[in-house]
Amino acid sequence: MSGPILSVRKLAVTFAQGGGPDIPAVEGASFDVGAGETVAIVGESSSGKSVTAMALLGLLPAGAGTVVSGQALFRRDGENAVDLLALPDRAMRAIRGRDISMVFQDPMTSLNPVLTIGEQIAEVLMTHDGLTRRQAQAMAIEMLARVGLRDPGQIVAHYPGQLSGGMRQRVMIAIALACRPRLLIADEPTTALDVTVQAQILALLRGLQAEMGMAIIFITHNIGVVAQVADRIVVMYSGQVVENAPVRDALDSPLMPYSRVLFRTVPTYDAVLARRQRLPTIPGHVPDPRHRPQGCTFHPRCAHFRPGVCDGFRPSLESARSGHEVRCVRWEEIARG
Amino acid sequence: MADPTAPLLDVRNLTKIYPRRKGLFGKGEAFVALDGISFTVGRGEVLGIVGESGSGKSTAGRIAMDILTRSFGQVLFDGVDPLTMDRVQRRGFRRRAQMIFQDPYASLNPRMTVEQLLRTPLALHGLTGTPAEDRRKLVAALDLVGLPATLLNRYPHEFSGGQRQRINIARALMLDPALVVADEAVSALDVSVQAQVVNLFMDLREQLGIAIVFIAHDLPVVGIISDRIAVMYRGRIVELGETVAMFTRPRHPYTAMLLNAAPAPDSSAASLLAVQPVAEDAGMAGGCAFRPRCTFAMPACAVEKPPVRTLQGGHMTACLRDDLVIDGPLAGQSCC
Amino acid sequence: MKIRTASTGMVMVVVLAFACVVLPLLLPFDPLEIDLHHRFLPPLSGSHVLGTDEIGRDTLVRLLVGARTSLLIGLSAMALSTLTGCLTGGLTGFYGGWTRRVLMRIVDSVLCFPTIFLLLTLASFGQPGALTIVGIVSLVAWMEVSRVVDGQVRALRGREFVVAVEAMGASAAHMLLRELLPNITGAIIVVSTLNVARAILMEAYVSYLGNGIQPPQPSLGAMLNDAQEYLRPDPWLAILPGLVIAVAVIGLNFIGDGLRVAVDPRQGRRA
Repeated sequence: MSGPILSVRKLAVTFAQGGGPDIPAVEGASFDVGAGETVAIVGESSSGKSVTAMALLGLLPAGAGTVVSGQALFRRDGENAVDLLALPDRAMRAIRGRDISMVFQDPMTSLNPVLTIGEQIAEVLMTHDGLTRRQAQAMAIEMLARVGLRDPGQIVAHYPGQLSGGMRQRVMIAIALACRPRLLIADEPTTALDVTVQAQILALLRGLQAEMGMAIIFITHNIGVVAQVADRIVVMYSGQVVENAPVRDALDSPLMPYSRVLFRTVPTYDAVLARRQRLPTIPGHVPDPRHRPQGCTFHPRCAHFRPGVCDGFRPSLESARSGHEVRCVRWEEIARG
Repeated sequence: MADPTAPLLDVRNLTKIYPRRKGLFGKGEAFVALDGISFTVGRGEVLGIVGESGSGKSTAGRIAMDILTRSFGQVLFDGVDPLTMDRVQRRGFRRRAQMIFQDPYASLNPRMTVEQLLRTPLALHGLTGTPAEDRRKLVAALDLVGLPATLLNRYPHEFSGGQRQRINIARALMLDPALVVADEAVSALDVSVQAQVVNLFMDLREQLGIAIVFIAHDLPVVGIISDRIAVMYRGRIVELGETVAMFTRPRHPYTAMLLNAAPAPDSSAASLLAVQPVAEDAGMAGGCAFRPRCTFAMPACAVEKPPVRTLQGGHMTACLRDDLVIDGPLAGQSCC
Repeated sequence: MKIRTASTGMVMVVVLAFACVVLPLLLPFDPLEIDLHHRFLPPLSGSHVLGTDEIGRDTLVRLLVGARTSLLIGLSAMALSTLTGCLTGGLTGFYGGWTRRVLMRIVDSVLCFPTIFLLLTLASFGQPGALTIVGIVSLVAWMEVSRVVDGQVRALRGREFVVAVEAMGASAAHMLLRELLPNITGAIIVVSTLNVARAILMEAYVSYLGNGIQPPQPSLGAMLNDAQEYLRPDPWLAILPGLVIAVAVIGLNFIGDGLRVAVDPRQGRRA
């Protein structure tokens, strides 16, 4: 594989709050996304996973005390890499929707209720690819067929309100993929959907990815979904990347104590068999971003906590084995058991 | 007091129809949210109800709690229907049957402190004692759900989702209920918090003997907590049976599809393909509602609504095909 | 920003109210005392700080007493209309059904009329006086409150925290008074504040047209009316009561607008 199409380095996002202390939503996140690869960013609320995506797309509310720093090098075909975080608005708009596009959790709020489906897909194509209205309409119908919608010729004339949740998410994917982006950022795209519909959408995304070769950043809290779509997992906890590894490696032998417990808290069918046995849990709760603990931010909840070792300084993300990074001072001891 | 061996909650042929009017004078077709469902919940038993959006699972829970009117059918709580209860019986019902809602942010009055929230049920039922007694009750309830008594003077917005759901549960426990209907009570929570709350429900059942109707869309979660599970599809219960039996050998193709679609960390990407990519819209009159999505459909499935068949061990299914052998995710793992 | 607006309004209203209550006691003039030797004195002439009117009455003391009457009428009308509005709006919002449909349609249609004509029609039937004005103004103002309360109650009625206590056996009264009302007090305060301002304006209209406070009792509206004849030679007789009305109304509107933002967290964040 050639170099990564996206290299995020030391991405930090801070929200200033009127009066209160600043909120460091993301603290120095670094990860790569290879061409055609699916990277799942996993985390619980206030882990910074969604803010990371918004920052990459330049969609965080400008001004109002939001400070974004770091670097996100994005490599387009045969071109030099551009830093998404340093790009002027105009250039960013040209990239958004064409080279990088996105799918959000709630398709209803991201679709314009007063425009037909066809108009919305065609608009993207006309802006970015310079197609004529007729070409764009024809292309829109083709895209709707690609995302598995029956009667695409009729659906182009529908309004978003006339479609079911699953159909709307297919339309969102059609719009996102209309310009054949190199990178798709999907933020909880199936969270609002029923499980059977979710399964269909995930299968669809995988199929289209194989066909069109785009990379996907898949943001989710659902580890089961991750197991099915991702090549690589980036686990985030309280604004930091705490583990980054190939999917099977991460799920089968996670190194960071947080991921180790997190993956086991997810109910599995095996757990159903162990009647009335309690699920493993993580004690305490996610720290308030304004008052994160000293040292490793996970140490107050960690079963492997060592005073003086874990609560002194923030551990850095170190390479454990090839392609597997972990942010824990004690990972070697813990892995040895 | 009713017969102690009889079920605590007995729902019979419950039907909910929403008349749908089109335009000013037009008569539209009615929307059948519940189509004659029946189930029982024993004392101290956990019954899971699963289904996708629009399956009617929440409607069933709300009608059972008598906060939503029904079109037909019976709800018997301790042998008496809330509709025919006198004042005293009704008070008892409101005390012994409690509900917990999905959204931990919307279900607590934002203007009340935890103390006021927990005192409300006592006040409503005239159960307030001396301030010291009340306080002891509040602290005990908070303790049961794993929250410290120091939080009594805080307001809901100061808590995380998981903590709020614990407060909701503590409030329900103030009245010492026999039945708790939990409507998607863990769906809005983070994974690790969800595990904590699921464990809490299991504790409550074991320590206090509370019966729970656990309504959710996440099959593994429901499976862990429930003794029996009812699977709903478009207003009907299509399968009802013991959890392990259902996960080992589902009798209804829809149950099989749900089990297959629910992503689990130990499942592989291959399982995605087994879900039928089918038309999502299927307003079918007559016949089995699941027919258009079913791999096993026969011509007969279009003719009549499949009647409920009772199999061994009280397992019930509403599928015409009695020849199906479908392996669930636990096939080959459970004994028997 | 909005907080400052509300504070400015608050200062204006408090200063005015304080002046109305205290100053008349300190001034050496009676608002009804006629002094034909000193008619049409301009402001700042000797002991008559704001001058005198066409029959030599002290303008300042008449303004203050008139403003006091206006504020009192405004507050009483507000109290009456808030009470009626909360009661009707609370019940219709909570129970819905045909009573709600009928009542709200009536409210809508009445609110369609220009208020001033409605007011004058009503005023021509009653015995002129402060109480009548309170009654008439409340008769118009409660509908606004009712609509707001109705809307808020309807929006919150189906919220889970209300359904939750209903499932626990709460009575309608408990749900309305303990659960719903505390969550809409903000909105009620906002409408009520704005209603005080409206009531003061309405009192001025009615008195100006002669159906309100009767002479010789001072009233801001009546003073404006009297000043009409002498607008050319002695404009201050009209300007001064106008200013007082403006201060009161603007001050109250500032408070209302400021509160509106403070009460609606979504707007507050944007501001």
